[in-house]
Amino acid sequence: MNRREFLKMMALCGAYGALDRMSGGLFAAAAAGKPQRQPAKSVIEIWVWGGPSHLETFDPKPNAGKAYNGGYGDIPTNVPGIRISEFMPKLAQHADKYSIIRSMNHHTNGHETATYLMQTGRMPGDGITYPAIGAVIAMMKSHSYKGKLPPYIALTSNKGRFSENGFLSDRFKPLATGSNPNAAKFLVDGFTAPGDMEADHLIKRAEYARMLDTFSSVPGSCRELLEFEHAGAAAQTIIEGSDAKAFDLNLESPAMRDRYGRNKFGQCCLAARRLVEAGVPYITINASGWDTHKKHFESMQKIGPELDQGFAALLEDLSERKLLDSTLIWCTGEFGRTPKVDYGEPWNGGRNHFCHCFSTVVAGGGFAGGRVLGSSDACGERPASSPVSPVDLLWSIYELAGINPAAKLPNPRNLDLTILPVRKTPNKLRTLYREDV
Amino acid sequence: MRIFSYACCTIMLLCQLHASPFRQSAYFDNTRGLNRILFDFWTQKGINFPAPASDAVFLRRVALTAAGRLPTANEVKTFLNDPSPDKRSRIIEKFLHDPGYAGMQAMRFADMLRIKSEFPINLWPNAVQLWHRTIHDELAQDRPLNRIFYEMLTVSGSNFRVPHANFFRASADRSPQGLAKMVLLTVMGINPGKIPPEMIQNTALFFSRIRYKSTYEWKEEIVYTDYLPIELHAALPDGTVKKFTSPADDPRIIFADWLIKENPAYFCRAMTNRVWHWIFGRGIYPVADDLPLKNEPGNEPFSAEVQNFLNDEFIKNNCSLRHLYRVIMNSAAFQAAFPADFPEQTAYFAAYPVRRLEAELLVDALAQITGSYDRYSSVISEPFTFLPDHFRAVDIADGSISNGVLDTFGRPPRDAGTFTERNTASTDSQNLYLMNSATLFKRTNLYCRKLRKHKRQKAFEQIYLDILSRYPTAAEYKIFENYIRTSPNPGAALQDTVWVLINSKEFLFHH
Repeated sequence: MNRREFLKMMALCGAYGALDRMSGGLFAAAAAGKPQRQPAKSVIEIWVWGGPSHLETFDPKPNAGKAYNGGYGDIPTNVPGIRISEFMPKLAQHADKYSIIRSMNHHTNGHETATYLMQTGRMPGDGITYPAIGAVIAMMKSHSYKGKLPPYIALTSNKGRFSENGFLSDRFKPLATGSNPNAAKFLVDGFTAPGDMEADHLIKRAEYARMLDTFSSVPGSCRELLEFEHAGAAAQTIIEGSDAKAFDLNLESPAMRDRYGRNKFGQCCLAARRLVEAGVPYITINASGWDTHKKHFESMQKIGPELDQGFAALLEDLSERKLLDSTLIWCTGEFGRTPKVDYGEPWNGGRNHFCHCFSTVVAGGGFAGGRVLGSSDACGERPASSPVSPVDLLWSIYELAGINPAAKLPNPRNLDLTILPVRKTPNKLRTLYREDV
Repeated sequence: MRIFSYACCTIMLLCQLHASPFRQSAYFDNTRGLNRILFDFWTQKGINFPAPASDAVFLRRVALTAAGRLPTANEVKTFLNDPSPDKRSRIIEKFLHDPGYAGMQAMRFADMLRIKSEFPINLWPNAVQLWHRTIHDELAQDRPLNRIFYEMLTVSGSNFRVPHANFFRASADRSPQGLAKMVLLTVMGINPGKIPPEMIQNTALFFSRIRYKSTYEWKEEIVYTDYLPIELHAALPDGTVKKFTSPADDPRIIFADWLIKENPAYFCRAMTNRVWHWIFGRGIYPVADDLPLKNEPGNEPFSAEVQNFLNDEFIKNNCSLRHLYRVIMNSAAFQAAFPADFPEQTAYFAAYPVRRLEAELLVDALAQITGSYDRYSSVISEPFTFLPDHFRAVDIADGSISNGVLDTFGRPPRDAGTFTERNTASTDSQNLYLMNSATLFKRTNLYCRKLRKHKRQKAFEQIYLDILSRYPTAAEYKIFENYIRTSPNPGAALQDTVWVLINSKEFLFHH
């Protein structure tokens, strides 16, 4: 994208930001007489990359037999009538804080295509790569977010299957932190200072750089160099400032770190909470290890408790800090896993990709807790009621974040694109909204 | 007229600082080749002639442009010491045959041809390796571009066995319209969003018989033409109507005959603009892949004479990519000094256009300086791809294989194959990496350790040769000497010098 296009796009962004605020007002007005509610400030996406089995998480099938449930059952939660998998005992204690959609479905069983669909609400193939929801929210909230950290942060790596900011500016590309938040020091390259230089040494070195700068007289006349100077100055304020402390998990008490689980996923959840406190609009936790084609139940013994503890601690902690109301959380895979277990070689009790029916959990940010939307059939193979599509889900996340999903999406080619494909059917997820929304 | 221009040039040069490491007091031979066209054009436009860039700056440009790397310290010393008057054209020739040349140009082609394993192109590693390796070798041998593109447009076969079949395989949209848009963009440099829909429909007819079928080999596909007994009338983009009556007619062959053989002007214009963009960061037209069908105000070549001259050179020399590079790199446009002395020079290529190094070139330059390379592996499940150590980022075949640093610096996703996919804008996160990265800090420390064997003046000189590809000036020595005095030790001062130069615009930009 050249500079002119970029500026034009940013101008459009501004215009749509304004439109957005107007339409936000309209939404609120439509909610007839209720007090106006602030949209969610931050979104945490727990991306259970690879596809989690809905049977071992939020849609157990205790009566389907071992061919389906592998002999694992369900447990009650703190909300009467809602039961989840026995792999999720800690989350069972917080069912009042989240709602479950048990009738998610789409039509693609490939990781990359399904991820693209769940992130953009579109199928690939029209020659346009749309931005993921995180990039769109980061852009739409750029007028209100004043923090110095990037507006879209991935813990710890990107999904890597497509360019996640699509055709949007690189400013909205997720910063992948790298490193491991469960390590002795969570080193976010570029943000965590290398070495231990004294402040006056840094000042002297900067002065030395100015003296050796052979192009010092040029930038005023050259936009590429000017842009570089601006970016350098912005980086300097981050290096000198305290924003990057959000990544320093050693500032948390050992008890707090234990509560989230001393593993990578758990500490990612803790880091996500710190980033929410820093005001970052969109954080994605890309959990790994869930593509359990082989020996599914053995893998679940490790990853199940990690998800359970980290997610439960995040809900409880945000709730205690009165941040759950302004923070929207959604937790899903790109699809689920085949409800019928494959006990044959070489799978030895594995589950494959399954797009026809799976579960997604939503919490906070305007979503009510303790509810269930939709249901699956006896074996969890097809939705039995209220089927929910990726667009339905994304629509409500945008709406609760204060963004009109039908708004124009600025793009460098100036095509007439909207954030999501515009539909006429009513939003099914409204039944999961809090009454004051 | 020409005498007058010499005079202008000389006066202008006298006004320059002679101490500048970026330019030299001499003037171009404007009597031959592209220079003759350029100087006539500048005279006619009233543009001040450029001063030539210094030898060191020139050498750095040649190495980066042709081979995608910095010149080594030894190459710099040898070139600067060479007194012969034709050393510039000789070094151009040397770098056009450098082992890095084909890799660098294959990277450009792979961007254009969308070579990647994964979403949304899904070539898969087998086809990526075959296709990239073929392009690489054909460019190393300088196979005529018209033959390469003719083969791409007409060949049928498995994309794991017939390399050029991947041209039609590597399209996210496989409808006839989608293929027509892809051909218009890639081979004609036309933005499909800007031409009338009926022209896309007409062009689509030429690709309406292309089919794909899979085999037992996972992800392999055969691209072929299905022969339908339907009579077709289709208009080519220049308006000529073609009629296919026999079911054995392959309409894409008729299209390729027209585009490559009968009326090659569109093809030549597209290729010369691409190469001009690869060298200067923008086209002879304002945007190298947004060429209009007919010139229109606001979307014309900066100089019609330059455009025509290059088209002729390209055709006369067997559509040779290497020759196109040779002609342009020997010209005053390529060898003009930066910065411009007068703002209007920049628009007419009478000053070299400054822009940030491409992601791969920057990462490779850091590796070359520090002697320590990044690692790459693929996220694609099967077959896993691990690249050997000391692998140049420029040489990565697969657009799906990347790392965070390459992404941060705007490596193109290769989804659509447009120039806008590559981003050379500067961002905060790039600067955070360069200024504050712990991994880069570790690597530059390894480099600093190697400098210990030199006396400190010599070490300072070596840093300049390695990072900026030139000797330091006397003034720069002096600044360094003063800095050492305030440093805790000379080692720290050298370390800081490396940091300063790696963060300097002179290193990070093509200039």
